[in-house]
Order: sequence, then C-alpha cells, then structure tokens
Amino acid sequence: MHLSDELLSAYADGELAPSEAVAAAAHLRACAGCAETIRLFSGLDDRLTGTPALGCSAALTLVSAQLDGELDREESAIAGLHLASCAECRNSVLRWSVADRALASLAPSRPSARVDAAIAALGREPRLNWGLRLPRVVWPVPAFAVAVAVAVLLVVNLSLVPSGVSGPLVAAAEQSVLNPATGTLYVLHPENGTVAALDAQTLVSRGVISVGGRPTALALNPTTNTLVVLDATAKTLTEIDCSSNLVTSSTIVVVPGTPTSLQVDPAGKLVVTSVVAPATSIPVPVAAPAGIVSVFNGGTKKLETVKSVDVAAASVVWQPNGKRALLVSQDSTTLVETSTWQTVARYGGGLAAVFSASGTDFAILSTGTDGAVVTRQSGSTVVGGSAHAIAALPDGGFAVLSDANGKGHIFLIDTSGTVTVTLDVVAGGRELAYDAQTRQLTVVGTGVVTNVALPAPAPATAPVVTAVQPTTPTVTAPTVTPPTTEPAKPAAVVPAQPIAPAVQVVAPSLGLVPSGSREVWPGTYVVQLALRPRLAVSDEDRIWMLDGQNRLSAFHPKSGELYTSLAQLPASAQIAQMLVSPSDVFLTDPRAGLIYMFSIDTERLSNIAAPFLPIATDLVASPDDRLWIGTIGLGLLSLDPKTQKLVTTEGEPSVSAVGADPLGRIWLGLGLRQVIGVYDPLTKTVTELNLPHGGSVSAIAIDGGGTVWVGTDTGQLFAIRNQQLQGAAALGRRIDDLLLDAKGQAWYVSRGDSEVLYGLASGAGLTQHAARDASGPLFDRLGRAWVADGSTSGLFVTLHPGAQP
Amino acid sequence: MRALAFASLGSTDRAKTVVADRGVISDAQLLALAAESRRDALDALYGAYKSRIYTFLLRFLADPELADDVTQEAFTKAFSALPKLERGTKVLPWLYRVASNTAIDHVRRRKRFTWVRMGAMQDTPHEPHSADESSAVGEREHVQAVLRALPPENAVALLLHALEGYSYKEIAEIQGASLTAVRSRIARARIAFKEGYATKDPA
Repeated sequence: MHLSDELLSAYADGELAPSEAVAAAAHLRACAGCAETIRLFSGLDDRLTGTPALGCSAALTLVSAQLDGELDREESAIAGLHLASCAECRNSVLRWSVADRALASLAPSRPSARVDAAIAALGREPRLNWGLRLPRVVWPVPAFAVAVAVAVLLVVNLSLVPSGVSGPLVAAAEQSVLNPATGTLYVLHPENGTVAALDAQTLVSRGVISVGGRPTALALNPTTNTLVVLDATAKTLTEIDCSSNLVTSSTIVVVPGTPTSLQVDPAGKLVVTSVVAPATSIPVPVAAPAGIVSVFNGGTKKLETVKSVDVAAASVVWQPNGKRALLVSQDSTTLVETSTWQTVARYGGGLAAVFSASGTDFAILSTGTDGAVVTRQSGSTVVGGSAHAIAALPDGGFAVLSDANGKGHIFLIDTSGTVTVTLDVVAGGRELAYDAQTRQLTVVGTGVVTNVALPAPAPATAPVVTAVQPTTPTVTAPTVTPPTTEPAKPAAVVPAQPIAPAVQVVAPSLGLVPSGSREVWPGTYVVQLALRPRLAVSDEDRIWMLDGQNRLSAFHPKSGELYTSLAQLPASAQIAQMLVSPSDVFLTDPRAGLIYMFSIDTERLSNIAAPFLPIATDLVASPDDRLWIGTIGLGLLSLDPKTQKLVTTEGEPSVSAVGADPLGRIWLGLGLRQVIGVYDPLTKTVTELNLPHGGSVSAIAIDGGGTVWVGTDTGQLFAIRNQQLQGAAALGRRIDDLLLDAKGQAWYVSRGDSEVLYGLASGAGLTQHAARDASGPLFDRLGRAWVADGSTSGLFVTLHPGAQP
Repeated sequence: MRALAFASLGSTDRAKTVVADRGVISDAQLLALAAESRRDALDALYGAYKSRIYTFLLRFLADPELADDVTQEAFTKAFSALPKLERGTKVLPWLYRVASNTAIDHVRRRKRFTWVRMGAMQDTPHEPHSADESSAVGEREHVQAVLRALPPENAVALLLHALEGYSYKEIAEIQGASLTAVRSRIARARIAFKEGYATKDPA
C-alpha cells in the first residue's frame, strides 16, 4: 500500500501535522515506491536520507511554538530532534529572537489629536456620514463647519456666449419666427436639421435645437408657447417647448401631397398647406395643381379638417381675429373664410402677405416690373428692388425688406401707403420680424441676423434699452451708497431664463488643497456644495454635475468656481449616464429614448432621439465629437449629434464595450468572443485581434501612450500595444470602467455593492475607495481625483490618488 | 446589578477618575460602565487602550496616518458594539480583534494586483521588497518591511504575541482561528523574518 500523492505532496511541502509527518517519514523509509514519488515531488533527496524525517518548514513550526512554550512534551521532542541535527534551523531560531526583540522594542505610541477629538465627539454630535466608506471616518463637527462651504460670491455676467457678439449664427436661414413672449428669435436651418434660438434683442445664441431630418417650415403656437417645425419630406411635426427650448414631441402627420407651409391659426390649430402634383405622365391643363389645407389639433396633432383650395399656397396668413386668411402663392393670393376655406376675393400673386396690426387691412408683397410692390386693399406702393419680406407695424403701417444694388433696405409704409422712412440694412436678408416690446425689426437671412431699431415717433419717449439686472444674489459690503446716475453696464445682460444660473467661488485651489475644504482622512478633502451631485462627468477643466432636480452645474477644480443651474432638464427626464466630448455634455435618458445635449460653447440644451439607448452597453465620444454606442443586437452605432445622423456599422451584432483612440478608431469588446475588434471609420472595416479572456469584455480605454487597456467582468485586465498583448493582470473584481486622467494614464473602476474601487490600471499606487453611488473618479489637470457623492452635498478630492503606499 | 458593580468605585465619576488617573480599568468595571453610559465607557476604553491599539496598528500598518484612521474606526466600531458586550468579555482581546479585523480589511482592500508580462513568464518573480532590502536600511524599517510583506493574519498573530505576549490560545480567540493555525501563522511569520535577514546580509 502506498501513500496518496496528496499526502506525499503535503509532506514534501512540510504541510503535514507533525504526527502525520512522522508516520509518513516512517513509511517512506520502508516504501521505495513512495520514496521515489516524493523525490519527483521535490528535491528533498538529500534531506530525506541525511536529516530526521521532518521537513524544515514543518519542524520550524514546532520550533517556533516551542520557543513560545506552546508545545506539549512529544512535540517538543520532535522539534528538539530536528534542531539537534539541522544547523540551518538553529540559525533561524537565533534570528527569530532578534526579530522578536525588534518587534517588542518598538516604542509605544499614541494616536494623533485628531483621533482623540473624533472619539471624544462620538455619540455627542450627530454623526456625519460622508458617504465614502473607506476609511469609515466619523468626523466631529466643528462649529465652523457650517461656514466652510461659503467663500466669495461673485456677481457674474452669465451671458453664456461672449456678450455683444452677433456672430455668424445663421448658415442658411430659410425661415424665422419671433416669439415675443420669451424674446426669442427662432431661425430654421434645414441643411443641418436644427433650429437656432437667438435672443431677439442681443442676437446672442440661446441654443441650437436639433430636430433632425430636413425641416422646412417653422411656426409659433403662442397659446401653448411652443414652436412647431415641419419636415415636409418626413411629414413630421416636431414641437419645441419655448420655455426650455427642448423638443417635446414629434408626430408623423398624414398630409396629402407635398407640404409647402406650416402655420398656427389664432385658435392654436396647426395648418399645413400642401400641393398635390398631378401625375407627370398625364399632360395637365393650366388649372392644376390643386392646393390642400390640412388642419390639425394643436395638442393632439389629430387631423381635423382637410380642404381643397383654389391656390397651392406657399403660406397662409391669418387675420388676427382668425376669421379670414390669405392664401399666398406666386400665381395668386386669395382671401378665404377660414370656417369653410371658400374664396372671398382674389388678388395677384405674391411672395408674402401680412394683415395690418388692427386686422382690417392687409398687404401683399410681390415683384412687379419696377421691383418690389406692396399691394393693399386701397392701392399699391412701389418700393423697388427685389422683394423679400413684409411685416406689420403697430401704427397700422408695414415694413418691407428688399435688396437693390447689393444693399438691403427696409421701407416703412404708413397707413396711407406713403414710404415714410428708408433704413439701410445688410444685404441678404430674407425674413423680417417686428418685436413690439423692443421696437426692433430683425432681419434674418443666409449668414445674416441683424436688428434695426425702429425710429421713434417724434413726440414719443425715447426707448430705453435697460440692462436686465442679474437676480443672482450678490455679496457686497452693506454700505449705503447714493444712487448713481451711471447707466448699467450694457454687457451685463442676463438672458431671461426659466432658471437662474449662478456662479460662486466655493473652493479655489492655490496649491493642491482646495481652500475651505476639510480633510476627511489623510490626503482626501471634502468641498461642500449647495447641491447634491447625482451624476457627474469631467473633462479636463470642469466637473459637470447633474443634481436631483435635473439641473446641470459645472465646477472648475482649479479656480473653484461653481456654475449652478446652467441648464434645466425636464423633471421627467431620468438620466442614466453622462458623457462629455470636446464640445458637448451628453445626458442619456434610456426610458424616454433621448440624449440631452448641452453645448459647452453656447451653454444651451437640446435633445436628440436615441431610441436605441435601452440596448446600449457602452458609449464613448470620439475626438470628432461623434458618439459611438455599443449595443446588444444592433452592434456598433455612431451618432453625429449635430446632424442626428445615426449610422450602423457592419459587423458583430453585440458590442459589450467601446473605446476611442486618438486616431478616431473605435475599439470594440465583443462580449464573450475571444477577440477585440478595431473599427476604422475611414475604411469602415473591423479588424479583429485575438484576446483570450475570461468572462465578457466590459471596458476599453486607450491611454495617452497608445496602450489599449481591456477589462472584463471577471476582473481580468489586459494591456495591448502595437496590436501585441503586453501583459495581463487579475483584479478579482468586475471592471466596470477604464478612464484616463489628465496625464493620459489609464485607471480602472470597479463598482461593487458597497463601494466603488479605483486605481491605476498599471497596478502602481493605492487602491482608492468611494461610496457606492458616487460618480467618479473625475480627474483634473493637477492630478487630483474627485468623487461626486450624491448622498452628501460634497465633492471629495484625493490629492495624490496614484500615490505609492 | 449596576449599583453593585460600582460599589467598589463609588460612582461612575469615580470610575472615570480612576481611568483618567491610572489609565487602567478592569473589564468588569468597563462592562458595568458600558451598561450605565456607553459614552463614558468609550472614554474609559479609549483612555485605557488607545496607546496599545495604536502601537499595534502602527507596527502592522507602518503608516502613522492610516494607523490613526484605523484606530478611530476601530474605536468607533467598539463604541457601537459596547452595549452588546456580554459579561465576562475580555475587553482588550476583543478590542484587538476589532482593530486587527479592521486593519486587515484595509490591507486587503488596498492590496495591489500584479501584472504578468507576456513573454516573460519564466522570469523569477521579484520579491516585493527585495529592492529595499538590498540597501542598508535600519532594523526598524526592516522589521516593518518584512511585516508588510507577510500575509496580514500572520503578521497580526506575531505582533499580538510579540507586543502583548498573548498565548496562542488567546491569539486564536482574537483571530477566531484554530490553535494549529496560530502556531503556523507565527512560525511562518518568523520564517519570513529569517529569509528577510538572509536577503539582507548575503555574506
């Protein structure tokens, strides 16, 4: 009978209990087969024959215990036997005593005063849970703590783009609409599927709203304060809430033929005119084409009426009381009863028409032999030039926009039909709007947006352009100053906003430690905020945060400035993830299938439809600002936020992780498949690299040095360089994310049930810990790592996150 | 019962005075005090044992600030556990258990992972502290370095033995381990010291 291999192996390793070891040794002396086996297991040949049959390791365990008087007599004998014959072990024991003495001789010490203070405060003060689990520091609340967050509040000009600049905001405007309620001018950009919102007074951008497709017409619905956008090709009506400038709905509408215009009638109904072109194969008499008017419920978008009309109208203009309307077309303009859409009167063709302010008169703008002509019921006025637009003025007159000899002109026509004023404007204007509140005429055209003040009537009070005072609380010395006669700074215009953005300096960092912060444990400080960051993401300069009320704020780690309420997302939005590209902050709402997009340049919010979000596994923004989305089922998708163009790529239907490299290539985790894909947008091809791994690839990042880091949900981490696997490591916990810091170093993030762990992917330095629901780490340029903790009103900053222990 | 427990001291104030004066308190006194006032018991506990716990943690963790943190965390845990302590509990061993478990948690959590170089698999793995040991470092640093490289349970066992002179049985109770395990842990810790020394002076 032989001893089991297991037992022999344990014996060779000195892992047997002494009694077992003695028995085994006896057997080995007697059994040649087992002795041979153990020779194979170890290089113990010499010891087996030369020394007592107890491995040094096993013997030393006994010797160690003997030294401490913890052995019984039998064990002591075995230990003594070994020591007597083994000089090496005797030597070891001598060394142990040195070590024991060294350990015992270390001077007693005491914890620092801060621990004394913390313990003294335990159970006396309400305990503060800072959210971060490690070390679970319970910190006393000093009396000054409440004042910590407060630094200096600054008065800010929150004009979100350089104020006073009316840049080339309009690329190719075809239609514009003024919303007098919000003072916003909306300009349609059919070529990129957007509507630009501008401050009507300053022409400063209030944001670009992406509606997608190729929108063809705009209309304001004043009763619901919404803007409706028509896409004639897709036959969709997209509704934009004018208070938030966000798309609230998009409805496909059934309209016969080709839609030509969209209007909102005074009752708030949506009216779409369309042309039914006759079949081209049939020769058509002059009578065609026929016009169609479709009327939709403004709320439900349900079709209520379809009427055939004499005119294939390019636009419909309502009388302010809604009873009559003008159907304007090149061939003829007809006045109709809106209850029946029956023609009341017929006039010549026109480019545009408008009812007078009182509604009793109207004017049709057309181009005659001598240029632009304005035709009213009482007669015509020739103003010349090429006619473009007409607007009604409050005094019953009209303003006409026309170009002549490369110059633009606005002619003001009074009720008698006389041109009273001619104003010079830039050429290229195509649209004209009058804002009664500011008494400004706005000219919109391709590359042109300009405001022209209406000359004041002689006796009237001069219009005073007053700067709106910011409502931001300001901290100033409470000294009483006499009221000054100085005019307000013209630049300090705060756009009328449903939310009140504000900035305060909460914690500037002169060195690494943010001022006004408190150290919660060595090397980690907390900066108190007035908001609870539910989600956060960072770019190199800012930490973007979304609070529980869906308000977006930004914190600048270096300057310590906190910009609160930069944008308000709808209360219904359930944001799951934030992402930042060089020009936008993206917030995903998988439930609604929307991606909200906050433009960093214009600081305006828009949204884009993203119905694929529920199947998305990972998102990344590439250097060209495109979003790349890995999905289960649709493979890799790319979304251009500017055009809303969604592109699918050929290849694997399931992508578990995506990463973008500086060349714009997208690295793909393909789930359980033992490969990594590299998609090149230029060649539109996917190259696969073999990567045997466990589990499913859960994260990919490409660091500043070009190393590709791949993490799996089983905790494996791989480094790939030049398409060669450089190394592998096992973290033992799921890798949820791989992030880059400002230096381009890669970090892994593992979100456990109780805490978030992160550390350098290279394995250097400490593992850092954050609370379970914390967002982060968010790296700044100073090499610090921030964690936004939604359970507290705090940002935690670790000064040297990658420090060696 | 409470009144009885304090008969020898007179009052809780007296108990606190005793602790404050001599830095010692018997287990029975402390447990009785805990039943009276958890807050006062914590003061007594902390006053009596903070130095020993901290010294132990400092040896084990080799980082004064971390030792501070863990000391604070350990006493915080002890504070919440005080009312649950049964009569007859040996307070200091219990406190060591709390402290060592807390410290091991920390060590475990900050344990780093090791990269394996592809194509260099045959290379002998480097000892984590071999670089330090080749240089002439002081005895204390050396002890500390060896301790840090040990499996944490082994280091704790050796420290409890060396610092407090606890028997293997007491250490087994503190660590919640078997006697055999403690014996093995201490021996392995010592063997590591031997090896560390061998590397230190190869001559």
